Amino acid sequence: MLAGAVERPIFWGGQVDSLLEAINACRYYFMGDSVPWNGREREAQALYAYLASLPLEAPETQPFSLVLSAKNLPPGDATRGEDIYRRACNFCHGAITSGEGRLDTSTPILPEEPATVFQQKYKFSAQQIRVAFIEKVRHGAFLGLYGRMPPYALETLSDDDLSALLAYLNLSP
Amino acid sequence: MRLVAVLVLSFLAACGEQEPKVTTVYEPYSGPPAYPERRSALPPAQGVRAFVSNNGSDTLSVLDLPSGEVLATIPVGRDPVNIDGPHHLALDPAGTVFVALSYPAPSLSPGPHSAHSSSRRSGYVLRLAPDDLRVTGQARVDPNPGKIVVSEDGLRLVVSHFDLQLAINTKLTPEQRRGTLAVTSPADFAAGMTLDPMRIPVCLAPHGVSLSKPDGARAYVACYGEDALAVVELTGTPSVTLIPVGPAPSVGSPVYGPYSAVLSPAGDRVAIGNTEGRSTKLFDAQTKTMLPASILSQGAPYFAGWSLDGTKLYIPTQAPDALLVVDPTTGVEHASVYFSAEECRRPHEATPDEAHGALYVVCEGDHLQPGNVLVLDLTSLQIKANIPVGLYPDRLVLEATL
Ligand code: HEC
Repeated sequence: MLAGAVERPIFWGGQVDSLLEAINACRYYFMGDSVPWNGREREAQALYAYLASLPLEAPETQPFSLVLSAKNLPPGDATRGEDIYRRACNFCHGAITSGEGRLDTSTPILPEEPATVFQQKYKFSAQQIRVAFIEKVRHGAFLGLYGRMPPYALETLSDDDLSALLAYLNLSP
Repeated sequence: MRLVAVLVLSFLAACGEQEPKVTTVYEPYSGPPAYPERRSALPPAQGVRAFVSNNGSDTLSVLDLPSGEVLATIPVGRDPVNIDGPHHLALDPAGTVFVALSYPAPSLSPGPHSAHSSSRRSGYVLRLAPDDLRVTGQARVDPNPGKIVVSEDGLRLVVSHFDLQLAINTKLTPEQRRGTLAVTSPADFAAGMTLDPMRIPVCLAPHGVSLSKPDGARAYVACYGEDALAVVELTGTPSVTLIPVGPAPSVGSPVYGPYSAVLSPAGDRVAIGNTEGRSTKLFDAQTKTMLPASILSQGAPYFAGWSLDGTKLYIPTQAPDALLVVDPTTGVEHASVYFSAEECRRPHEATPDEAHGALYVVCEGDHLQPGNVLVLDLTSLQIKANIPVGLYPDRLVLEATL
């Protein structure tokens, strides 16, 4: 995904039109760093060097279709969902139910920790909990949500993949 | 340009079985300049360049007026997903653009969880370079910045905060409910830094602001929430004087609802658009009193424009959507145009451009479909061009003027 980033004219589906601003947005929203880089910092230069070293095979612009309103999805295949979880969520959240290998304790154990909060604090029904998971995956820390999780565009995670993921997380429709 | 990596494998002598520790040391980057500017420079205009803030689509439109060509549409904002609400903008004499970001409350409630979030986000002001609108600095201000202005000499920048939620929050003291003016200097912005400007509490829901000429020592502020015009002295210890815009002002639930305050070119009068009372009032800057004339309109008056000699006011009104040309001294209406929905929905601002014999009207549209800018002949008021811009445009500034 990062290959060709130094050549790309737009990011975030056109909301950002400079690589440095795109990097500053990531640093601010996902890494809690509120002082933007001006590009001359050592780390900024090193990061540019790395990005420039990647093979230039990706297209110049990458589509990025955000799902703006979260709606329920049809049932999916839990076996496929396990593989998707491993590739999409495990790195941060660790293994389901145990949280083994998660980034830190502020990254909740899925699905139990958020599900409990949704149920006890907000009195969500099972279906609302499912939609709240869909909402979180689609909106990350944006669109009225908080935190520092990235949003998943349709190109990164299709609705089909998300259905499968929800089945693996045992969040039935 | 590839990067050169040197791998340093350091085995810990004492414990042979342990995994080797791999340290990667990068040589300083020596390729072509990192982060080359990829934005193209804004094309020059045949006539005058104008910037329009599209607060519903996170963009600025750059127009060539009066011909009406769209030179560029540039994304602005700090948030790559949410609407940043670029709401009003200002230019300094060097052509540097200052745009206020006013984050809308999550209104669509895109999912069950976000409906529980009631966070209020600070507004921001971005400084954008004149040549390609890249960000060259930012300031954090209060939530819901309303209007942003730069003094004629380019040394003072003032932002009002149109915070209705704050104004009606009965848990707060009257003092705490006042919206502020944020005051700073365009020169204080710097890349990689977030300014925290001085704040002056002014009144309930201050919106329109004009600065005295040339240095903006005084600000005239339309206090929507308390039916008054605030005169704020900005030099030395700031002072705020509230002058009611009519005989029966109401604090908290406005009867007049002063929304805009536009200073005349000579700096002697302020035209105040009262959207609730559907009247335009004039304020005498010298005597600091309201002038007796009241220009009544069928629709709600928004940001009016003055003729250079101060003898005409071009007043856009909403519901009905119209433009009135009025003598500000006598209140006599010289002319009016009523717009069809295709021509102009919700006119927000009228800007005369006497050098080109044109009048520009910013039309908000219905906020769901893109709005537009109308180019009228300044004398005949005939429509010469209808330029589509982004969602919910609310301000147009001409490069040559302030
Ligand atoms: C880059 C790290 C990262 C990845 C990858 C990630 N998350 Fe998260 N997630 C977080 C963090 C950090 C939080 C807690 C802060 C927050 O809410 O953003 C979180 C919170 C959540 C929450 C709880 C939201 C709440 O409001 O309590 C859910 C549900 C969730 N993630 C689901 C997922 C799923 C499903 C995936 C895989 C598609 C995923 N996450 C991938 C970092 C990540």
